[in-house]
Parts: sequence; structure tokens; C-alpha cells
Amino acid sequence: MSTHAQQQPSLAAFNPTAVIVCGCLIALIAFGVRSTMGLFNAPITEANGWGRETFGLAMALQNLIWGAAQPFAGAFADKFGTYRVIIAGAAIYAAGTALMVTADTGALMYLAGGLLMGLGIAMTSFSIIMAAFGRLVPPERRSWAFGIATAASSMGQFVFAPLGQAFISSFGWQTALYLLAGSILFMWLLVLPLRAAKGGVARDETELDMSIAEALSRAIRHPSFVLLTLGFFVCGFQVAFITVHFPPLLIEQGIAPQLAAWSIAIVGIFNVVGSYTSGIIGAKYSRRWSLTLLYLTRSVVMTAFFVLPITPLSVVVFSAAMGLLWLSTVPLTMGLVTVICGTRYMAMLYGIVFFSHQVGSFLGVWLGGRLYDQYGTYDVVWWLGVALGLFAAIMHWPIKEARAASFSVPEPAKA
Amino acid sequence: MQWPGHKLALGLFAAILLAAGLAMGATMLAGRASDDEAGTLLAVFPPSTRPNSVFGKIILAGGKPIRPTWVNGTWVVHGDEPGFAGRLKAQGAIGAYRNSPVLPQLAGCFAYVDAKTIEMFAIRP
Repeated sequence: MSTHAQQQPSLAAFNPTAVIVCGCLIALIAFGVRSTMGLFNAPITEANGWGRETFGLAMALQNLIWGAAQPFAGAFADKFGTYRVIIAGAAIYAAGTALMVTADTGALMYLAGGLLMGLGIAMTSFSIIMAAFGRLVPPERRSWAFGIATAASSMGQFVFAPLGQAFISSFGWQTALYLLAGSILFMWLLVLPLRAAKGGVARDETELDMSIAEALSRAIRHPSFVLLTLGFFVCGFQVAFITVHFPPLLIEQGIAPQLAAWSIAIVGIFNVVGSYTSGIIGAKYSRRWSLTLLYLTRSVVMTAFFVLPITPLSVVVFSAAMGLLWLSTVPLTMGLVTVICGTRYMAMLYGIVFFSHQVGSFLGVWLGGRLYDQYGTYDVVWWLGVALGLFAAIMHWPIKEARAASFSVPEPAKA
Repeated sequence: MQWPGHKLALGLFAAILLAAGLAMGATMLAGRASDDEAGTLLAVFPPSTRPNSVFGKIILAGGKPIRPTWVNGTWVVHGDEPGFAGRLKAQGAIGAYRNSPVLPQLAGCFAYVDAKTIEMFAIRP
């Protein structure tokens, strides 16, 4: 066991603006391309004469593999550096995307769209980028950096979805997939400024040196880390449920399809603003209290929307409010992981927290449909979402926003 | 070391939107129907045009209105006679397209743009 003196990368090692810009663009592409996959459902299914199940299962596998692989991808980034993981991840991601064109059997589709894409996303996603920022950016600017990375990811889905549709419309779905694969390979150039972000570059002197296994073992035994992981489950549940089930719910409530469509765009726009703002808030105020308040506000907003008459105005207000609260949990959660466990293994440890988020997302989508089929209404799952928001607020309340003793250099050793 | 701030964020996001807009514009132009085309098209009239007026203009162009879309002034139309796209433009349409990429969508860390939602809001001809 040894201690580390603070090691900030030298000025010559990288350009701060290039680090932020290129990191954000990688996050934007990684998140953007995957969000377009729903657009390929109909053309691929029709071209191969499949039912919807084959493509749906490939995408479900992709999400599962992304969530399960995220801690491992993070561990590789922590150990070998962000640069290498993104280079390999982009190759795998692009290969998976391009191979979908020739995947004419279910097994090939599960391999290309499920396994390869899932692995590729895990290795290039914003979790990896934020961990690199965490190591390169000084502590006082970290929260802002997490915020801009999350906002860039949010913008990725906002920008790539119509772009993917434009590609399909103009060039056909096969060429569209090749174009998307090409845009993924652009990450190879973008990753160059992040080469300085090798494991432990910006560790501070209070951070204890330990192995990956030791870090994992200490984290999962730390109450605050466990509470944070449980709380993030709720974020996944609420966001995934609303993404998939909100538009049909609005149509069912008699809202015009035109407004229902715009409500989605409103969530997307406000999501970018909310993600960025939460990074700024995390730098100035307690992340624990911010998250407690955020989940509480989600529950209040969801309750108000359902209790009050659903009108065009209430749809717009709800969409804007939920947009602000959408991915704004991410910079604050990542910030807490960094504060509690340090920066050395933050990519892996955030990967663990994120896996909980993905499990929540799966349940949000699945239970939304399951309970609707059972009761013929979204009421039950909506109130479940409200209750889970309160649960998350309670989970974040007791979190100790300070470096865990098990991750700190003991006092006598510091002297 | 001087770290960037809000100005960089603003500039970056503006540049991304601009680049995406240009890319979409270019691909939309590729999907624009030539004047002599016929068949099922997406006719785009100025958003301020009243639905009754759009309806009349489509008939005068020798076509049949199939359905309006959620974008004001944008209709899915059909005409069998060659030159239908050109006649729509002569009636005041901004353009006639074989398809349109305009589709607000949302995804999350888990969920994709949902197939049902796409069908609900699609404005494809």
C-alpha cells in the first residue's frame, strides 16, 4: 500500500479546450448513434422477413450487454487508459453497426446489433469520457466538465435521431448504417487529445493506492456507495418509462398527436439545458442535497401532471420540467462517486452504479407495458414512478458527501 | 492552466446544431422530388397556409390529399400524372419530397426511439 503525490498532467501534455471539445464529441456520437437504432426496426425487419421480436431482442441484448460491460470497460480504462479503450471500442461499435447490414439471420443480428454494439457503446460512452475528464480536469472544474459531457450526450440523441432518419430517407437504410459506422470511426481522431488521461494521472494526495478488486470490494461495502447505486436505479426506471410510454399515454388522454410529438422535442431540448446546469449546480452546492431535491421534484411534477387536468399547457410544462430533470442526475451522481471513492477507479465504480440504472430502465419499459396490459391504464405504473422518486430522495438523504475512510490515506501517513 | 467555461459550451453546442442542420439540409435536398415526378409525395406548403387552402391547391395540382401531418402545411399527397411535383410547386408549395426526415424523437440511456412512437408521428409519404 502506498500513497501518491498529486500528479497533474503537464501543460504540454494536452490542450484543455481540445480535451473538452473532443471528449464531448465522442460522447455525442456514442450516445447519438445508438439512439437511432429504433429507426432501423421496420426496414431491417421487413428486408429479412422477420417478426419484430428478432430486432427487439437484439436491441434488448445490446442494452443488457452495455450495462453489464460498463464496469469492465471502466476497469480497462482505469487500468490501461481512456485512449486505448475508446480506440478499441470505436472499432467494435462501428463493426457491429456495419455488420447489421449483412445480418440476415437472427444469430447474426444478435451478434452485430446486440453483442458488438453493446460492447462498443460501453467502451465509448459518456461514463468513460467523464472518467477521463475526472482525471484531467482539476477538482474545482470537474462538476462543470461532467455537466458538459452529459449535455453533449443529450444533444447526441437530439441531433442524431433526425439525422439518422434523413440518412434512411435519402440513401436507404443500408447506406445509413454505413454512414453511422463511419461517424463512429471519427472517434479515432477525436480521442487523440485524451491520451493524457491514463489511470491515476490526476489523483490527489489523499487518495489511497489499491488494486481494482480492492476498490470494488471497499466500494460495495460502503453505505453511501450502496445508497447512491439504489437511487440511480430510480432514474433509469422513470426516464425509460416516460421515453417509451409517454407519447401513447398522451394520445390516449386525447392530446393531439402534433402536441404529443412536440412534447418529446421539448424534453430533448430542456434535457441539454438541465444536464449542463446540474454540472454547474454540483460545483457550487451539495450534490447529495441536489439529488435529493431532484428526485423529490420529479415526484412532485409527476404527481401534479396526473392529478391536474391534462391540457396542452400542462403537457408543455410537464415536458419542460421533466426535460430539466432528465439526465441532470448524471453529473451529480458521477460527482458523488468521485468524491466518495476518488478518481483512480471512477470509471469502473460508476459502471457499477450505472448497471443499477440499466436494470431500472429495463423494469420501467417492461413494467410500463405489463401493468398497462393488466389494468388497461398507465395509472398504476405512473404512481409507482412517483413512489420510486420519493424512495430515491430518501436514499440520497443519508449519503455522506466526503471521501470514504476506506479510500483515504490514513491520517498518520499523510503527515 | 486555463480551463474553458460557459463560452466554450455555448460555442460547442451552437456549432453542433449548425453542423447537424447543414447535414440535414444536404440530405433533404437529396430527397427532394424533381418537377416531373408523380406518385405519393410529401407536399410542404408555408406553415401559415390554411388547411382548406392547402386542400384546394392539391386538387388544383391534379392530386389527391391523403392525410395532413403534425407539421402545419405539410400533407401526404398522391398524383398519378407526370409533373405532379412541379404543379404542386406552381400552386405555392415550398417543395415536394419523396420523404422527410423531420421527426422529433427522444431516447434515454436505455430506451430507443420507440417503433410505436415513430409510427405515431411519422410523416413519410
